[in-house]
Amino acid sequence: MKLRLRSLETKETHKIEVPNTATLRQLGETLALSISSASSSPLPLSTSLRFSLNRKDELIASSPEESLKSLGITSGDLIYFSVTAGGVSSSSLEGVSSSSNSFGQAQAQKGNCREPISDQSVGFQKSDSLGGNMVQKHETPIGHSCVGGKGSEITDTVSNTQIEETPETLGLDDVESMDIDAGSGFRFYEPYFLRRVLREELGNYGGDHKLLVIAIHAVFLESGFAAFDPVSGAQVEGFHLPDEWPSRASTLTLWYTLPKLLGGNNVSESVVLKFQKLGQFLNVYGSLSNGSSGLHRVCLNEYRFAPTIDLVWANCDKKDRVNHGDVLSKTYPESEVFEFWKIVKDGLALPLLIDLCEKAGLDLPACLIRLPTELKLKILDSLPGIDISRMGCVCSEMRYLSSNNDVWKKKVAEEFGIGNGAQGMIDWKERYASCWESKKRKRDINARPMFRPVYRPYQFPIIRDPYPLGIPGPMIGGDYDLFPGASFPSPFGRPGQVFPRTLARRNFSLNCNLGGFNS
Amino acid sequence: MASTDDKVILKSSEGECFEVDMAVASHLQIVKSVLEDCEGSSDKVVSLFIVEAKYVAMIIEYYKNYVELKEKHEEGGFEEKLKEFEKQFLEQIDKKELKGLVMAVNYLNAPALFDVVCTAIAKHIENKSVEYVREYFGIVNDFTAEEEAQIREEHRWAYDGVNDD
Repeated sequence: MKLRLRSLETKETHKIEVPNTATLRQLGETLALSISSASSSPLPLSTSLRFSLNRKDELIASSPEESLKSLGITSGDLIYFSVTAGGVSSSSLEGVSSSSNSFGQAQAQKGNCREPISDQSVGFQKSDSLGGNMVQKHETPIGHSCVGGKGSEITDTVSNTQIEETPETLGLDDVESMDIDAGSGFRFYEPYFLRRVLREELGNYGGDHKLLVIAIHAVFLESGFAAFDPVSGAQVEGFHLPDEWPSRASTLTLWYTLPKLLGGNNVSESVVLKFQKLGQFLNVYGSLSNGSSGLHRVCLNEYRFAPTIDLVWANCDKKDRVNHGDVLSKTYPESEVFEFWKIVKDGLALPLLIDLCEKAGLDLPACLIRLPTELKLKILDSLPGIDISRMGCVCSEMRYLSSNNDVWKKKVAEEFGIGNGAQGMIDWKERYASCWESKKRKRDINARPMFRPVYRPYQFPIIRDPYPLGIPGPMIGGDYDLFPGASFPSPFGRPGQVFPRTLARRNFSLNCNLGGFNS
Repeated sequence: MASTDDKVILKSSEGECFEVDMAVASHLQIVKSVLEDCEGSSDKVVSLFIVEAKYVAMIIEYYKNYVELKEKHEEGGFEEKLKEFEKQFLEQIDKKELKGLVMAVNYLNAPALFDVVCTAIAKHIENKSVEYVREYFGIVNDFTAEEEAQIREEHRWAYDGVNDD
């Protein structure tokens, strides 16, 4: 991992890299080497180095073998160090014994915010001043991660008695000042912290179900639906699921309609989604709200889909929304997300959309859109790759479909005959694009006019002896068509060296010449 | 069994009725499942609410030939004959009908025709501009101008040599 180490005395920053398994001691040795190589000052003993993540609490390994990772340090972290004890503020050094525990605790939070209380009793040594506020402190990490996004900063709230009074405000101050210090290291944590916050937001209870519900919501939005509140008739922008899944017997209900049908106090036609959870499965029933159409049902296995959706979330801020499809295809088991999308789209969103349009007397969606995914893919499959990429520009759904890696894999194999045995994650679309480019270059070269008079005058003066084996027989093509009677040797003796721009002609005539030799 | 048992009546959205051999109609999954659902009832009429008569006729024609060819060429050559027929079959269908046909085929759930019509549609939109495809299918462009520009930029390699008619 790469770490930045800043001296508390000189404010000098050293960038060093240590193995992922390195211990604090090894870090000290590496740093000592780095310092002594940068300056001529005597090599400080590693024992006199003290490390801290927040300038207050010293990092102490509970055992010499404990790796930096288990101390809560990850690649990109900024660590403060002091050659003498005076650098680290005295209050924290007095509490050194407890501060190491506070890191342990931070680490627990980093990994999972799920069970802070139980970690706490282990994480803290008996520190009377802190004991009474444990619960309060543990409410802050989420707020912290929202603002600072740096797991290690959580420790700011801990082991400092001042914080007890106003943990939140002080915590935020600390985070802000750290942000300035942390600089570029900040972004590095974003996905993870976002993921953690989302997790927290979702709550632990019923979390995976909620993941699926929100993902289904996303498919409905993409299909053109708008969520609304059945009481007020107003559109619901972001929606908030209840903290706890409704009791076992009851179901969660969401209402959707089309933006066109919104407005006014009552929404004339709408569809209802009812979610029912059965163990690891989530049953979703969809119908028109007045029950006048058939019931559509899908059953989703959360063990199968929740982890991938979770991953999407963890990474969703990496790129623009527009690129989402591409991001998916590169980083996750794309097919699982696609499978999920397909089930929800074909099983619920599409039939409900058609029912709703019919009921409300609206124009049906475009015919291609109404086809099930399977047929859309069949059409895409029958197109040459070049047209598939153009289809991606037609609308967002086509864009998603046309970024399907399997489709591109097939096209690369079909049109360029490569990649059947290829392993691992390959972006086949990219591969196709590069194959296409090179094919086009070749084609352009071949398609160039055979004679370009502008070059001709320059070709004759460089006649060398191109036929060391004797004059070949009559030839067709090349300059021989122009001067059929003349038997002067090819002007392309070694043109590659002399006239690189005539490469195309050289290729062409070479082929002809070889024919002449062989016949 | 009486010969009427081997027939089924397909009713188009306009109410036009087509009497079809069971051997032909059974290729349409929807007909098959409807008949299975009301097994035992003497009523052998299947209403295809959203399919226009001309598409019903087309699909019946296709499957009639399909069944005939299959019988005639049991020992081989069926595939080639079918290909030949499919070519003729598609020649009579114009581009507008093709769209209707694909919807009908989807509704009737006729697997053998899936490939035929999807390939035909693909052939039709091959080498066409994005605008043409949108217009042909009636798809609303849901990208913002910036998004579209970005996508086009990403796929610049795909935008030469399109044909707009």
